[in-house]
Amino acid sequence: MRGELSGSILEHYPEKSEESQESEVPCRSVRPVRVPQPSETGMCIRGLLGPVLRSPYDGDLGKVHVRTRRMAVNDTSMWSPIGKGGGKPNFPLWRGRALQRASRTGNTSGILGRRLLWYSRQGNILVKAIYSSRQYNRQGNIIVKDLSVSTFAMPPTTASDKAKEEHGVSQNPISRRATKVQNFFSIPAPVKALFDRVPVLVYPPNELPQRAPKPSRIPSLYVFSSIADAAAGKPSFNPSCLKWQAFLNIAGVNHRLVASSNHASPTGVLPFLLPAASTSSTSPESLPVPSNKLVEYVEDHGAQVEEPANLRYEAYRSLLDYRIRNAWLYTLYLEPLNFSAVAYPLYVSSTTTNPLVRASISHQLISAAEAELLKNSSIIDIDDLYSEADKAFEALSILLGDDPWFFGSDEPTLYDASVFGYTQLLLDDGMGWEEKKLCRALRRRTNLVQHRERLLVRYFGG
Amino acid sequence: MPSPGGSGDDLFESLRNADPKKLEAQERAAREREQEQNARAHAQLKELVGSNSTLPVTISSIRLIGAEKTRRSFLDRLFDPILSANRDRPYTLSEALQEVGTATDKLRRFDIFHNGLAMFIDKPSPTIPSSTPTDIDIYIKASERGPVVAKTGTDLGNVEGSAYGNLLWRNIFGGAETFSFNASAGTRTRSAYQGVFEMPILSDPDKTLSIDALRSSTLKPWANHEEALNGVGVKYNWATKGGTRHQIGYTGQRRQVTGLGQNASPTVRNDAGESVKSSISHTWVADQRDHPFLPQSGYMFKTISEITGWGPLRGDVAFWKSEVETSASTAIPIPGIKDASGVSFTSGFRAGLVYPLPLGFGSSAQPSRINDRFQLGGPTDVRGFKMGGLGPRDGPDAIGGDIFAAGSANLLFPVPTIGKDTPLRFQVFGNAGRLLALKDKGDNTQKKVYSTIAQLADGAPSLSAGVGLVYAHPVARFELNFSLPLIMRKGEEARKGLQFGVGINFL
Repeated sequence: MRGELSGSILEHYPEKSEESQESEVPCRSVRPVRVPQPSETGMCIRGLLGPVLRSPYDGDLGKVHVRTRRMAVNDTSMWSPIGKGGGKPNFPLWRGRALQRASRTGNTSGILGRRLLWYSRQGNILVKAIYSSRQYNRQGNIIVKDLSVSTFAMPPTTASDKAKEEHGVSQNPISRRATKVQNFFSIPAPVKALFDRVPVLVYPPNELPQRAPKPSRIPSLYVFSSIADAAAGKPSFNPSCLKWQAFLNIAGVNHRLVASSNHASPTGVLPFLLPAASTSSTSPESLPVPSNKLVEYVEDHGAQVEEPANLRYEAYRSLLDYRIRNAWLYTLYLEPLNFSAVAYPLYVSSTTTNPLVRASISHQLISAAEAELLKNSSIIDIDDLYSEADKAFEALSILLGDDPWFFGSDEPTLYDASVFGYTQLLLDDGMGWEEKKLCRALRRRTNLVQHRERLLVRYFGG
Repeated sequence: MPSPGGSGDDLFESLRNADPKKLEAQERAAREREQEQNARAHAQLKELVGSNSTLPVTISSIRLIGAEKTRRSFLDRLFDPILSANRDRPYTLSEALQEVGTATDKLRRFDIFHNGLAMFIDKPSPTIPSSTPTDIDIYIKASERGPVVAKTGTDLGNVEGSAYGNLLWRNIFGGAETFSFNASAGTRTRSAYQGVFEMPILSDPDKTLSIDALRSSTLKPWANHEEALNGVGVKYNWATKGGTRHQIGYTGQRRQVTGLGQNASPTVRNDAGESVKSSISHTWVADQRDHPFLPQSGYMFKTISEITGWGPLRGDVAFWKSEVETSASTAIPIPGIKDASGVSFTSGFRAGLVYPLPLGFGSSAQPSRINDRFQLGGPTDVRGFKMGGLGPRDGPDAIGGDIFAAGSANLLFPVPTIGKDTPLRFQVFGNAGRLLALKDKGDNTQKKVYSTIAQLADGAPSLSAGVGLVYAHPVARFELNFSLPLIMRKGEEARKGLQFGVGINFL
């Protein structure tokens, strides 16, 4: 049973058993939730509950406010575990003591098996939160896993309890001191009144500089590209960027391209997706989505791209990720002819006009490619790299056979996008390859060439 | 009859339990005696020189004693012109002394000798056949400073703390050339390495040429990124007779906007990456204030002009950048107090402009990037706002503006019980500023700039006022202020309440 915190009595305790009263609201993934700490005495989860109960799937839990509770102040002894040593939920004890505590003081917490329990009372409603683990992220928020929240109706508090709460009799010396410390750091009322009065005049916001991008209603994919190509939505010249660009096109996620560099990326590597400008810039929805989260993002936004369900999928993926990638790295960066004809204009001269800086970036690129190749083997054997790539193309060609898409699926999958990332760039005459060994190896596989044509026509307008 | 042993004991006792007051009095007496002697010697010399001031003399030789590492050619330029052999008319004694004094003063300013250059005058022996009766010889006694000085320490700069190591190598080629290397790491400047080679031109301490190299990485939390710099520069400094200083120089820098924060705005993301800046700049400073951090009277005027990327300069960015900075202080007499009251009024004004230019010999002007635009706001300029709190904002980021103007008025008065001779003052201040991005309308850069400048007066500027305490430490000025923003733009980040500022250059 899902309840709004309208104050209506959902059910009276203890007329029914716990299971039947619970209204579980499971949250699938890890979401940041600000949960009060034991040391934050007297906090309530009113803020936490609102969004949870309203929209459990929205991931809106980041915006939780913790407000100081007017009703009562807890001390840490109230946070002792319920049910010693875990195991089954200890109902008698829960009924007897924890509930009393919760009803008297507002909230309490405990351990339920391997999960953690947390109770809070909001007027006549008792809220129970169960979560399996929690971690702090950098912003000081708590990341809670497997959160489920249930609500119960509570018997009205007795008159004597109310009186106690109102007069603060239940406060012990420690909590009183804590309140004093809080009072010291809080802003005195007259100053607060002054602060509220300023600024006396607020004008509309300043305009943004010329280079600031115009806010867009669709997400932006940051890729390696030229400004003109990005505006036209043409394929990126980087295999990994092109893979995800193709993936988004296949998934039908409308997006715009932004020509960028690795410096702009939160992970240090392109591509990444910047969701459309939203009203609040701090909500998790407006944070950049790195490429490894793009599949999730696309699913969250309703699009479906099938992941090939084939046992040998991993093996075929490694063909691309190792054999073809290594040959690609070699042919692009370490073949001097190709480096000066292809890599240099795309990756180096587009970044700066200064010859010294260009030389430095070239050097960095070449040594990074070398280091990457030397990760897997102690020497760079050129013939071996090319023959491995040739074998990989052969294997891919056999895998594709006469099907339109890989793994016999009806619609292209992420794997098709991955293959396209390389085949498009190797077969595109606009790239201007000088040393064409790898291109020739690919051209021999007619069905792979056709596969590339198919994707290009269908998702890139020819 | 007191025994000698007894008197010895008394002496011992008196030495052991020396009365501190008596000791102090003794010391003072000794000091006074010494001063008196010095003064008398000085007076005698003065009288002697005075009575002989019109005595015609010729300087036949100048000897610098104790300058082993210093080059002869370097010293020649300094002393040759004042030797009588190189002059057409003779000196009077006072003239000669003045000329030598000027030369020694220059020598002192090269900072290669210990302080206290001593000068002696001697008459050459008349038996030397080449000597004339008017000849005098001048001896200057100096001791050279150690060639290498290394030091480490901690620094408190404009809203940041850092630790540094510094190495200074003096008089490298015997011509007062210095090389200094500075490495620091701090809270905001992640790391910075700077090497500067500096040499005087033609043995003139007022004309120096310096070559520097810089490598640094600085966090810019107000715009969610980190800026990495690698640069070299050549600068020529000179001072005019009026006491103003000029610097003209070339700077080449490779800049990287990198290490972006998770919630960096699209504007910062767009500007992320490499850019090379190649510029010629000129700085002019006229500083007539009586104290750099807590002036009671005087004025300061400074202009910085920079041209980047235009014509043969190339690089990746092109603009003209101008900045002016003025500050004037005046002491306010209080009726009823005869001496200086310690109350003073200081006002400051700053303004700046980035004018986009075409890159190289092209024709389309380049819009400015985040690392070339101005930032405004913070405890050292417009108080009552956060660092970079004024101006255009994209989400959480202060992305800077192309045109700014800011002014302040501070009334400083002494803390009543402590008095006006301490470097501590109360202040009441009001400051205002406006930081604008160039309008994005039309193609004509000039029109854009004019209309943006006109926009500065569009509505009242963002304004804050407050009171605070100022402490002028010899190395920096500290301020603790309570301020309130009165007028602001939506999105600008003000700071209500207490704000602490440390710096050497306050508005």
